[in-house]
Amino acid sequence: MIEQALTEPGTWRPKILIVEDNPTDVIGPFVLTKQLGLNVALAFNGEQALELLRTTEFDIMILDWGLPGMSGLQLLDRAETARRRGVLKVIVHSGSDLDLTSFARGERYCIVDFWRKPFSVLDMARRMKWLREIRGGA
Amino acid sequence: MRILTAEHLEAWQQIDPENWRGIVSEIYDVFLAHELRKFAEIMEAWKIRDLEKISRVAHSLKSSCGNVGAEKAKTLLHEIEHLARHARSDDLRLPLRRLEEVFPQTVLALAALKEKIQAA
Repeated sequence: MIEQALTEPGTWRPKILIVEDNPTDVIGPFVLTKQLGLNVALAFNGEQALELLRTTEFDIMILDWGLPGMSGLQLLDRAETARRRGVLKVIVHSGSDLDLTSFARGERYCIVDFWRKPFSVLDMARRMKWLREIRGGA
Repeated sequence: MRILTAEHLEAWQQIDPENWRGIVSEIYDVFLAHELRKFAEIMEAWKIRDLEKISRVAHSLKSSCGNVGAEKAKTLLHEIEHLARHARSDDLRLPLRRLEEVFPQTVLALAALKEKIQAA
């Protein structure tokens, strides 16, 4: 894995949780986040994600909306504590177009962006760099 | 349309000129370890006309193919996902037959490309 961490003093390095069941979809974002020196954890299903959310205060969750078993929406409903703290910002990614009704829940769930899969590597790299600009906290 | 496109290789070279070979090899390893099973699941689901499963697995495999530049397979899977989702069982026959040819070709091409990248 890439270990090219950034060392600029004072640079905010968000804690990111990537929730994705498809290993081939995970590896690109994981490599890019590590390369950018961001703190990243992986969960391959909703239960793993909930466990991590209980024990760690993440700033950003990149959430596959179409998880098998517990869906992305169900995970958000159950991750009440993390959401109540008001810290967690959510980026939904999906290979399908989400209907507006789902996305209109954005405010309640702090959904800040929607990424449509698959995206090119360069587009993914650009989005990952943008993650550093998202500030956690109220 | 080609079996594999090279845009993702060029992109990783640009992002990480020193380590791109290792990154791409790792992505290919993950694909080869996990995605063959999905192809088999689609074919098994077709035998029993489980269109929901075909649609769901094709959706996932399509995304994975996109990550490794497997454009021909990705295009077929997009069509298969759409037909299965709209219960067009009769129309699935031909694209599934094409996928049976194209997917093994894709796997072989990826394995060969990985060897070439590592040898360079």
